[in-house]
Parts: sequence; structure tokens; C-alpha cells
Amino acid sequence: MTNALPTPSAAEAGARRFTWPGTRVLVVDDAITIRLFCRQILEKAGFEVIEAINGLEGLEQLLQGTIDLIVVDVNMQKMDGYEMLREVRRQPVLSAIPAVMMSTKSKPEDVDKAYAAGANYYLFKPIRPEPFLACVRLLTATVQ
Amino acid sequence: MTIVYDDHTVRCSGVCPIEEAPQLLEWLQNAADPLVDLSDCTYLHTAIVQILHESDARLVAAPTDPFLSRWIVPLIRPANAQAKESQR
Amino acid sequence: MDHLLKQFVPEARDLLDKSSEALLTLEKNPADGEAINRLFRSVHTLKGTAGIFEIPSFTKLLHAAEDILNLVREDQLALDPELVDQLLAGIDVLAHWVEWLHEKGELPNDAASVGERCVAVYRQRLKASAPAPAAAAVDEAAETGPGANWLATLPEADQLAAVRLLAELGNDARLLAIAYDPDPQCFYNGEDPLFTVKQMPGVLSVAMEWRQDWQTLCEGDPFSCRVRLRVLADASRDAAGELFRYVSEQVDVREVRLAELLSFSVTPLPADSEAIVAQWREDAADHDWMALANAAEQASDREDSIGSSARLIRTLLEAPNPPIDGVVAIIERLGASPEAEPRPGDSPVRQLSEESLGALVLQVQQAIIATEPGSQEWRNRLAAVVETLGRVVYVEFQRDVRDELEQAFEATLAANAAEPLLTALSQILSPAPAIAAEASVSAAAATVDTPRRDGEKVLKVEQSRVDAIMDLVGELVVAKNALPYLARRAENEFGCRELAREIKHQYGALDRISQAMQGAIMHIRMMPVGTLFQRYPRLVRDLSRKLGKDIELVIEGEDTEADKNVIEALSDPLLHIMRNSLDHGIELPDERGAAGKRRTAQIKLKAFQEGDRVCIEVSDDGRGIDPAHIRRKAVEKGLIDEARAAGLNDRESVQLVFMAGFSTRDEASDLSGRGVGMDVVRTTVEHMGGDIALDSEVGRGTRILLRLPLSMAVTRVMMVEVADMLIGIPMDTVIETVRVPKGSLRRFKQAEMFTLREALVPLVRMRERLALPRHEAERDSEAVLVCRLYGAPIGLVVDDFNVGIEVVLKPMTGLLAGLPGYAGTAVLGNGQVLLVLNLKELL
Repeated sequence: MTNALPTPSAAEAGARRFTWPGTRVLVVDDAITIRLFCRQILEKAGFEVIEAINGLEGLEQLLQGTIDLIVVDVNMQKMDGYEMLREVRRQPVLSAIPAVMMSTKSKPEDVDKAYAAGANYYLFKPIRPEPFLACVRLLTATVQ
Repeated sequence: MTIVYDDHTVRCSGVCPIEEAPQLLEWLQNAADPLVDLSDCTYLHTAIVQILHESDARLVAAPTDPFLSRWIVPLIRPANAQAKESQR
Repeated sequence: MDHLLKQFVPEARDLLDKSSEALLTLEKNPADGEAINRLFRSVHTLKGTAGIFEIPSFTKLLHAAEDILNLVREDQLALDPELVDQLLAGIDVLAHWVEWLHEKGELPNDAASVGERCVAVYRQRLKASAPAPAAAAVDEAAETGPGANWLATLPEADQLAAVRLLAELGNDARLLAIAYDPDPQCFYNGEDPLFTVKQMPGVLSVAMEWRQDWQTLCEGDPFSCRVRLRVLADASRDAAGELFRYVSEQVDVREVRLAELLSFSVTPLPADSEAIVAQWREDAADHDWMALANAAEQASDREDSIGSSARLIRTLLEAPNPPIDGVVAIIERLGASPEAEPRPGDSPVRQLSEESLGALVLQVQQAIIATEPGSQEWRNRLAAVVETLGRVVYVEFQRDVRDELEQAFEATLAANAAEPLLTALSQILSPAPAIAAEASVSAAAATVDTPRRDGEKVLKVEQSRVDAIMDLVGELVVAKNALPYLARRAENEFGCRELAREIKHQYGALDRISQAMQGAIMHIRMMPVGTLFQRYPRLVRDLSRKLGKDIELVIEGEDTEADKNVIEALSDPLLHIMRNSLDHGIELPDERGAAGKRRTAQIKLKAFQEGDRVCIEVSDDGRGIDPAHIRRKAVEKGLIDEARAAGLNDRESVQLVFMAGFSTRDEASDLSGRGVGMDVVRTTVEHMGGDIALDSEVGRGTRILLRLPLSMAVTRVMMVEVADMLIGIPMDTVIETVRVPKGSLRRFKQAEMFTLREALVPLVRMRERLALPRHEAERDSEAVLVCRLYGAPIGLVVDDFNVGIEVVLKPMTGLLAGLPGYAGTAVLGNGQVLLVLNLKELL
């Protein structure tokens, strides 16, 4: 037995808990209110939140570090959510990161378009705290 | 006496107990266009509230007691209401 | 015991365990639909089975609990901490009764009254949340069950006041909605309903309704009560219960949440509402509450339903933490977005129930896999789909299926067709949950559990039957051990070397088989430590609530297996360690915050295997143990003297907690006090042949490691002879045997020692220690068995060495039970009884 004290790390085996400290979620939305909302909810639940205000910035963030889940809006300047997700799916280093798309658009074809672009789930705005958190928790579950 | 009657107006003061109910009812049934003054009233028994609500009496002076003014006053016909034509 | 009852007991224990586990899962995550179903199923099954027996109190209690769960499952009753407490209390009562049934075959005498009390509590909850009687009875409802429909007609000022209060109080706040229908004759009993209501604390609204039958109640009778009272108050249920205690049958008290207060009826919407609502919806979608508040402000003077909605929204947004759900609910009530056409099948729609989130995500991935297979976009999408599936399956079914998915992924890419992945997915999803749910091991029944593949059968057997086989194997080992004696006799007494060799040969074969049998049975007796860990989430929850601490329990390695006896013996020490940690180790949230730590403390319970030992580690990130404090305490209690205390380093100091009579807290706490100290824990663990280690760092936390043998069934011992007696020494402590010439023995004052490879080894003369007669003649050399004790060698002076042997160790029973210094007894092949020493206790 060593003197070093244990700190929870993602490398420890067989944990029943699914969410690990340091799980990183990228939130891409042009509305600061949405980004704040997501940050507030997720940080309280122990996630690390990285923000971007459009698809381009989102891609830059993705290339800079490990991201466990992408949460992305549809309509944004410079590069919208669909374009960003298509690009993410094209890049071999990024393509396996699950993504949730969120939008007020709720027609079936909007939803299908999101899935075709590379989203793995779709949330309708206004986003409610509890379903949002449940969704992020589920999609960031870590298999150790 | 916590209820005082004159020609037109019934004046309730302090706490009005159920014992006043029969006399109040009788007076209201016989008075024409009766008026109610609750300005000195602090509490009305449920039975009194019932009678005032069911009668034609109009409120000319509201009570200061918060419970009465908030919840009971709305049950009594306001002063500016039309006098009812006749008893049901 | 009745044969049926015998089967019932382990099943009931199992179902109750499952129930409390599901309940705790559910409390953490009320949206966990699988957990509520599990809970419901367990309770329902138990009720069904219990129905066979004449135990009405038992069945009644289950019935009442099931009614409650039914409401929870249908979202008509919120599973608040109070309700969880009530349900757990019920489970405790049932568990207690199951043990009575097990021991005595009947329920305790007070079962009826205890049961009644629980049922009454449940009925109360049930009554409070009873939904308005079904549609057909609506007219009647006006007369009989008041329900909470009247909330819809609350005066707006009252509604706003109540909404403002609830929004400020936050998420889980509730108000009391009281419907009081006084008896028409109540005035004759001296009752004044209005006066009673006036006594109510925190009144937010008082409304009166007139009985529809008031005219028939003798019109104009001043002494008949013709009103019904509807009261909304910010008060506790207890306060209401107390106030209305004499008229409880005329009163309906229920808790209402924000959502219920917002469920007003929307009158036809004005023509210009669409644009306004669209603006609101947009602001809400952006979570731009500032903009929404402005927009609502502009419409708040209107007289129509847009106006009243605007005033509600404005009120909600004035709260420090605006309840988003409430705002969204209001906007949605004003007309769902015209685009929102729910579509069956693959797309998640607005009102998706959270319980099926996992299932829904899986469905979506399936749909994505099946969309435009073969296209480049389709290929690009697959990696994320596979990753998502891996994560969701892991959460939903607790299975790591990434390898299967990875293979199917490769095959899918190679074939450029969706089938491999879809097939793999349906295989993963189809047989999983049922088997996983059935396979858990009950505390009472060992499970014959070969590695489980789909469809493999699991057999539940009573432990006593396995133990019987274990005993028989033990006897087989003993019988087998008789053969070497026989061989020696054949050779020495009868001079048949040939036969002796034959016997030895047979002995070898028997030895192999019996060892294999032992291994196989040992494997059956192995249980995952998870069965032991199961109880801790409940303990942590209850105690942290009681102590006002915020604690997260992380359990790891619950699949690690160890012998059932080991696991059972660990139960008490571990419980004590956990309590210590909860009680002393973990700080209050504020204290943690002040120290710059996460407010939520963490206790980690981790099991793993290390060689032939099972290790259990309990660590927390609490305040740690202050070595200076420990030293001071130890001196104060006279356990060590000042000089020795001063000589101890910090790491050595914290070990003092293991000394008998040590208790670090000045006042014995309710939780970990009761005179049981860490010394008892250490003794227990060492008695099982294990050891315990403790690390602590001030301000960072404490870690305790227990190491125990995987199995306590078979022990290898070294036999030695002392004064014509055979004595066993556990082989794992023996280092070597040496014969020390008389001249090499050294003596310092009372102590004897000898030099072994330049180390001084203290000697203990076993004859003296065991109070046996000394040697009559001085010996030229001494037989010394060098053992390891607390990490240091020690030499046991014995008369002679014998052989090493495997024995089935039986605990000391009867008169010898309390005798310290002995680990147990074993029967040898020749029928002789071997005493096996416990060196740590003896020396």
C-alpha cells in the first residue's frame, strides 16, 4: 500500500458511476444565454464545458482537445450546425464523437436532416434542464 | 351587542358570533336595500358570512382586518352594485 | 419449517434487496423508468408469493406499497425523499418479518399493529395524491371528491402570489391545497370552518364555494353550513393535520407543485396571439429570459388569456432562479408550435417520456444505420453511432459491448451494407435484461454460476447443501491424509515396500482429485462482494441525510469474488469502517467548501483480487486523521508514554487508532461510537487470517485497506511437535526451519535471540508460551521455526518439525470457543486433533 491518496480517475476499473469528473462537453450556439444555461446545468453536474459561438469555432475547439460530446445549435453565422457536423463526421480523428443537435425546428424532416448530417440525438428548444442533463449523462457514459 | 341595526345599515364591530345570525337574517329579510358597515369588524362567523353573501346587503364600509378584507369582502355585494329588485 | 416457506424466505430476501436497490436508484434519478419497473415488479412478485401464506399483515403492507408505486409509475405521485424514507421503512419492516418467518415460521406478535401504521402512512399519501375521479364521475366529484380542480379557478391575484412563492422556493417546493367541505350540521358542534381556516399558517388563498344542494338544506336556515372552503397555503402537512384533526374526514389535503398551479384553462386565444406567442417561444428557445420578461411585460396589461399568461411569465421570471419548466409549460399551453407534428416511429417527439430515453436513443441509432446505407455520408456517420451505442448499452444494460460493436462496424464497412451492425445490435438488445435481472445472487442462496452466456441456466441452491458437500470433501481430505500413515505402517510394521509404494501412488491420485473437488466447490461458494456492497448505498444515504452531509458513494469491483464466509465475516468490520468515515472522516458541506473542496464528499468502496487474497479498500476524501491529535489522545489515554509518542512519525502515529481502548472523538457519537473501535475491526480481520492497513493525510482523506484470504476453507499448516503434542502453524506465516546450535543463542536480559543471516531474530519458547513442562535435559541444538509476524521475523523454539499438511480448519467450539491464541482445530488422518495457532493472538 502506498502513501499516495486515491483521486478518482477515469482509468480505474469497474466503476458503477458512469460520469467521470473531467468529462468534456462542447456547446456550440450563437446565443450566449443558451451557452450559459448549458454551462450552468452541466458544470453543476460535474461536467467540463467548452463553448463555441459557431460551427467554425466549434471545429477549432474540437481539434484542440479531447471532447466527449458535442451539443450544437442549427442556425449560426459562418458555419451552421449541419455543416459543422458533416465536417466532424468527415474527419477520422473526430468522427466518433457523439453529437446532440438542438433546435426549435420540430418538423420530422428537420429531425431527419440533423441525423443525416451526423447528429445522434435531437432536442427541441426550449431545452428543459432535466431532460437535457439526462441526455448528456447518457451520451457521455464512459465504459471503463 | 356586536351588531347594531338602524334603518338602513347594519354595523358589525369586533367579533361577530353565530348567536347574531338569526336576528341578522330576519333584519336583512325585512330591510329594503340594506347596507353593511364592517369598518370596526375584526371577524365574522362562517354563518354570518353566509347570510351576508346570500342577502342583498351592500358593503358601504370595508373592514381593516387583512383576512376579512382579502378573502371575505369579495363575497359581499359592493356598494356600487345595483340594489336587487326582489328577494329570490 | 414448512417446505414452501423455506423457498419463500430466500426469494423474499432477494426481492426486498432488489426493491431497496431500485428505490435508491430511483431516488437519484427519478426518470429511471427501468428502475421503477424493477421496483414495481419486485413488490408485485413478492405480494403474489406472499399470498400463498397466512400472513395478512405482510400482504396488506405490500398491497399498500404497490398502490403507491402504481401512482409513482404513472407520474401521479412524486417520489420525494420523504416518500423514499417511508417506502424504505416499509421494506425494513418486511425484511424483519421475513427473518421472523425464517426463524419462527410466523410473524411477530406486533405485526398487525406495526403493519397498520405503515399502511396508514401509505394510505395518507395515496389519499393526498388521489387524482380527480375518472371522467365518468366528474359530476359526482363536485359533490364527493373535491380533488384539486378548484385550483384552475383560483383568483388571479392568489394564483400569482402562490406562483411567485413557489418560483422563489425552487424546484421541489410544494404548497398545500386544502379542500374543506364542512358538514352542514357543523355549527351545532360549535365548529366555525372559517375560523379554523384563519388559524392556518401561510395562507395564500381562501375561496368559498356554495354547496349546490344548499337550497334543499333548508333555505335561509342560519344554522346550516352551506359553504365549502378552498385554501391554498404554504404550510406543512403536519400543521394542516393538527389544525383539522377533528374534521379530518371532511378535509382533503394535497401537495401541489408549480406545474399544477399553472394548469389554468386557456380561454379562446385572441387573434393577435400567434405573433406574440411565437416571439415568446423564440425567446424561451434561446433561454433569453431578459427578452422574454420584456415581451411579457408589454402584454401584461391585457385582459385576455395572453395577458394572464404574460403576468404569470413575468412573475416566474422575477424569481432568482426562474423555473424554466414552468415558463415553457405556459408557452406551450398557449398552443404548441404549429410545426410540432408528432410522428410515430423513428424520431423523438416533443413529449418524449424520459424513462425511455435510452431506448429512444438506441432506436434513433438504428434508424441512422438504416439511412442511405452505402453512401459516403452514411460511412462517415457510423463511428459516432457505434460510440453512442456502446455508451448507451453500457448505461442501460450494464454491459460493455464495444468489442462486438467494433467487429460489426468493421464488417459493415467492409460489406458497405447496414446488416452486420443491425444484426449485432438486435442480438445485443434482445436477450439481455431479463437474464441479468434474474442472475443476481441472493444473500441466502449460493448460486452455481459458471460464466454466463446467453441462455445459460442459473441454479439457486441453499447454502446448507453446498456446505454439506464442503464438509464431505473436508472429510475426504482427512481420509486421504490417512494413506501416508498407512503406507508408513505397511513399510515399517509389515515390511511391504511394494504395497507402501502402491498406497503412495494411490494417495497421489486421490490427492489430485480431492484438490480439484475442493477447487470446484470453493468456486461455488464464491460470491461477488457486490452482495456485501449492496447495503452501503442505503447506509450512506440514510446517514448522510441524518448528518447533513453530502456524500457520493462510488463502488468499484463489485464483481470481485471471495468465499461466502469471508464475505460474511467482512460485513461488520466494513460497516464500522464506513460509519467511521461517514461520521468522522467526511466534513460538513460548508466546511468542505471553506477548505476549497468539492462540497460533495466521496467515499469509495473498491474490491479487487491480489494473488490469493481479496482486497477491499475504503477511501474517502474527508478531513483525514490528524497524527498530532492521535498522539496526544494516545498519551492522554495512557496507551503510550510521551517519549514514545514523540518518537513516532506521522504515519506510525495514525496506526495508533488500532490500539485497544482508543477512540478519537471526545464524545462518542451516535453513529460510530458504541465502544467498538478500530481495534475490534483489526482483531476481526486478523482472526480471519487477513490484515489491515491505514493511510491518512490531513485534509485529503483516509484510506483503509483490508486484505483477506479468498477462502477460509482449506489452510496449509506446518506441523510441529511441542511436548509430545502436534501443533499447527499457518503456512503463510512460516519463513523457514532452522536448527540453531546451543552456542549461537544470545540472551539480552529476559529475551533470547539468535542471528540469522546477520539479522537478530527474537526467540519464543513454545513450551513456555503454551504453559507446557520444560525440557528435562538441556539440548545441544534447538529446532526453530522462523515465522513472520507484523513484518518482522520471530523464531519459535519447538521440540521438532513435522510435515506441512492441508487441513480443513474448524473454528473452536464449545468450551474452547473463547480461547485466544488458536485459529481453530483440524482432524488429522489418524484421527488425532490438531490445534492450529493464531500467532498474532498468541504472541
